[in-house]
Amino acid sequence: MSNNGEAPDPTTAELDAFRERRQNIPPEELLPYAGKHVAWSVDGARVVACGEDMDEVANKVIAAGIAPNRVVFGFIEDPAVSYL
Amino acid sequence: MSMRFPYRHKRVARPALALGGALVRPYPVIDVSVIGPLKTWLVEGKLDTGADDTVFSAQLAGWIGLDLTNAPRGEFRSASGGVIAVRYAQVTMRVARGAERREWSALVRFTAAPLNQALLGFAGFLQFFTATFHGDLEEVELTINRRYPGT
Repeated sequence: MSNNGEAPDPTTAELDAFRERRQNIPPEELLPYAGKHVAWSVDGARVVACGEDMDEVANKVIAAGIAPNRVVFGFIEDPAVSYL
Repeated sequence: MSMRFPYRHKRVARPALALGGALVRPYPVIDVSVIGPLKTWLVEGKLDTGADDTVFSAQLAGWIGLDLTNAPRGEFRSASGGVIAVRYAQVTMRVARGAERREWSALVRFTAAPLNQALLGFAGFLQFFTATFHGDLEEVELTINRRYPGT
């Protein structure tokens, strides 16, 4: 915990490690989350919550007892959708 | 110095003909810390050279402690032609990679319209970097330029 009682923000080293793990996740493993907003755990680069929008995801993160500043909020693109 | 970020990959339902039948598409998506009056949250955003401004979800504003009630209003036209209302607010953004860490303040847009991914556009983000998109390596390289106002 930091001095203000909150979980510390991820360090640069943690973020570098996160990106490495995130990069190695096979895209097919993310298919269950297609078209969903998600929260990635910084420590494990795994999806810890998903939902229709950021609010839903954030509320699930908090309900799970995870500090919101210890996740990365993102979106899993739908494989069936292509963008201009 | 510069920061290099690997592209993220998306599985596609059908082979991407324009990519020689590839089954995944690469995207220049990076994670950026958005620092508000109360909280700092990490979000993924797409580097978009076609976006005039940097745009985040209005939901994010609430979570990091930004009150948009009296924030300046604006609107922009999406790629599909729809007009989308936005509010402007000042945030601090941080990007870090390896030994390099960059942090700066910028006026960005927040929208209540559905937004799958933050857009890291010219104003507020790309204006401060020389961005090199290495299509062969599927990496993007960000180097601060003389406009960069931060630390």
